[in-house]
Amino acid sequence: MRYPARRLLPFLLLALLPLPLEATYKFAFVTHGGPGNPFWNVVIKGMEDAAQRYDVEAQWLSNPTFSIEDMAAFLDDAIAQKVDGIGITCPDPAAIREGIERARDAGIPTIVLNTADPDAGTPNALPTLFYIGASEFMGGQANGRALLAAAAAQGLDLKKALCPIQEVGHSGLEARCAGLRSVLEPAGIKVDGLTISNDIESSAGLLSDYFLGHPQTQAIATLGPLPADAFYLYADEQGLDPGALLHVTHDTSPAIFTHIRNGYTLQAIDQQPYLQGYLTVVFLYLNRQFGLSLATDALTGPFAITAANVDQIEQLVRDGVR
Amino acid sequence: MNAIRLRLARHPEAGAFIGLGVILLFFALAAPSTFLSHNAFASILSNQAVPGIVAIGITLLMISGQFDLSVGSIMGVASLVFLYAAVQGLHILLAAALGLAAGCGLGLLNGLLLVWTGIPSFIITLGTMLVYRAICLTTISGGRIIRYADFSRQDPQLTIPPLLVLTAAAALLALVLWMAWGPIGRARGLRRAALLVSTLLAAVPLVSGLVVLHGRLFEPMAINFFHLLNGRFDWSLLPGNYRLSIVWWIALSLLFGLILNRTRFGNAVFATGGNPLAARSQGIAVNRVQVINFVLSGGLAGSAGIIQVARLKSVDPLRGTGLELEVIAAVVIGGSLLSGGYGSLAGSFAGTTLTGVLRTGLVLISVPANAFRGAIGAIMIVAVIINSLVRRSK
Repeated sequence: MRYPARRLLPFLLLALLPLPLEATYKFAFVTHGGPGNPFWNVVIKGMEDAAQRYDVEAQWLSNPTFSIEDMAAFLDDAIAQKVDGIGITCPDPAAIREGIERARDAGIPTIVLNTADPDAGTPNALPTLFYIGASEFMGGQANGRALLAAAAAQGLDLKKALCPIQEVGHSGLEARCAGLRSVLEPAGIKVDGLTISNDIESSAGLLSDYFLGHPQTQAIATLGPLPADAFYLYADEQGLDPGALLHVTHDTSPAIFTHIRNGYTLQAIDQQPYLQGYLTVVFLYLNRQFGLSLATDALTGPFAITAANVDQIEQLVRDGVR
Repeated sequence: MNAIRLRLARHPEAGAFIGLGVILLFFALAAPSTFLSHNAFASILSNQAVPGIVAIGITLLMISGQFDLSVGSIMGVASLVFLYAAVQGLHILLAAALGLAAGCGLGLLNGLLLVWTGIPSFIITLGTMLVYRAICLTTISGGRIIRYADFSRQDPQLTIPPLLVLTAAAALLALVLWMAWGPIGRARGLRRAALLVSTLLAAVPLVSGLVVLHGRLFEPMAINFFHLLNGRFDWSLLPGNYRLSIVWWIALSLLFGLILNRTRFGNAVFATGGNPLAARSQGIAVNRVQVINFVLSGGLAGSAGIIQVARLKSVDPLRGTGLELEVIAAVVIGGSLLSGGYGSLAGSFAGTTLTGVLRTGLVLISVPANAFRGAIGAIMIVAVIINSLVRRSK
């Protein structure tokens, strides 16, 4: 039963033909961050997983360092390639307005992800479909409610809370504090501000000074992983017991997971970056295929990480999904 | 009045100490119950030790007429090298040596760039500040943090063989005797005997302290390396969070104070900054002085980084960002001139302490978050104006 090689030749030639599996659509992501950064890696993984599942091609266009000019240039490249849809972040709407308008004129749908257009809902808004990302303000509110619930459960008469800010004037961080205030202040709890930095040692020193001068403050809401580390250093060196100061935070880190598990931190607010990449591809596909769109923004956060789900989340972090 | 001003002008640190006194008095009156406490002073000193050590190098550079904006980034790289080597399982002393070498090496690069190109050090170190920062940012990208705890649950232990402990004790004794030998030789009669006895009495606690520290002289001594660098004083006398970094800060300040004021190299540093041409004509190797100062500055920034890692047990990519401006401000408050030739380490010590007192004091009297940095800046300007008024009479 031997086949002469000759008879196999047509099949071999067939195998050499280019596979007729060309992607149906091609989407481009133009963002202010990218590969190498653990946060953006998760967004990119979401984008790639969705692209595979929906059989489309998705391309990530960004510089390792933050540069608005480069965003505008990448946007031009995407339009020149005549892509079928664009996902974009909006740290500076003015820099990308012209490009987005040309995309609209060329009939390319655009979805904003991760960083919302600050003018959304006004006549000045960029011509985009909608926003897929977190609400910082609502994240602050969720942390405020967690503090209220924990105080009630402990029978604690909470009078004062601290919201230290590591970059004064940063609109996202200010929105987190404002959300916290909007929940706590109507409940009669004063929220103090404190200028710290991303330097763990000096920030821990400032926290130590603050609590020395304000012993009646019983709760603290940090706005990022490094400030959370500063709080943990302070708590550790003061020998604080878990729960002696109610603590909530934004963002995630291995240290935050550890402290959620051992009771120092009530909850951490996450914005589910995987969804931001995944859903952008899905909605660009649905818009291109059927002309479908959402009537509202799609909020991927706040998502609260607590002692109840921290183990599962940590596993997902290892899998690159969180 | 003028005579007093003239005498003050001979001491660059005078303005800083006066300012420190005034500010201490102000906060003692404004927040007596909280400011006059061990907790407040421990917070001030423990958190200023790291900038204080970096300030020593900046002072040397500023006296010799140069500037180093890259110290914060150098501190970040040295911290990274130290902790990375430690979590790779290298001996902790070797890891520390590598961290220190990284600091010195980056400082050397600054110095060589300066003498080779002649570009002002402000520009060169502005560039290297960004380049060195990129080392940290690319090695530990994004929000990732290297933590010693992920590598080992236990702090690194140094085991010191008994022979070394004995040798150290003998060397310490010899040092004390050597230092006292001159005065003892010059004194006569009863005074001489009294000096000899008091020297021996002083030497006994020094040496026995080393022995008692561990209890057993003929057994290997185990020291927690992190605790040695930046542990907490476990004395019931001192309830606050005082840390051993304060001791290193003071010791290094004294050491470099001696070098600056008592050695030919110190003289050369002042001469180089005061008038480089005159210094050169007197046979001072100006370029070599500059390069050595940059190496020292990098090495001190590296040491500060290693000492800080011993407390935090972690390194993040932003480690040391913004430190350079804080330190330069403290050195300027301490009376050193940006134009070179004038300054003192005592002044930098006072200046660094003063910025710490300000920070803690302003938090204690509840200055609003949005005005905090502004208040610090305004008070710094006042301090420097007082400095220059004192100096004008010179």
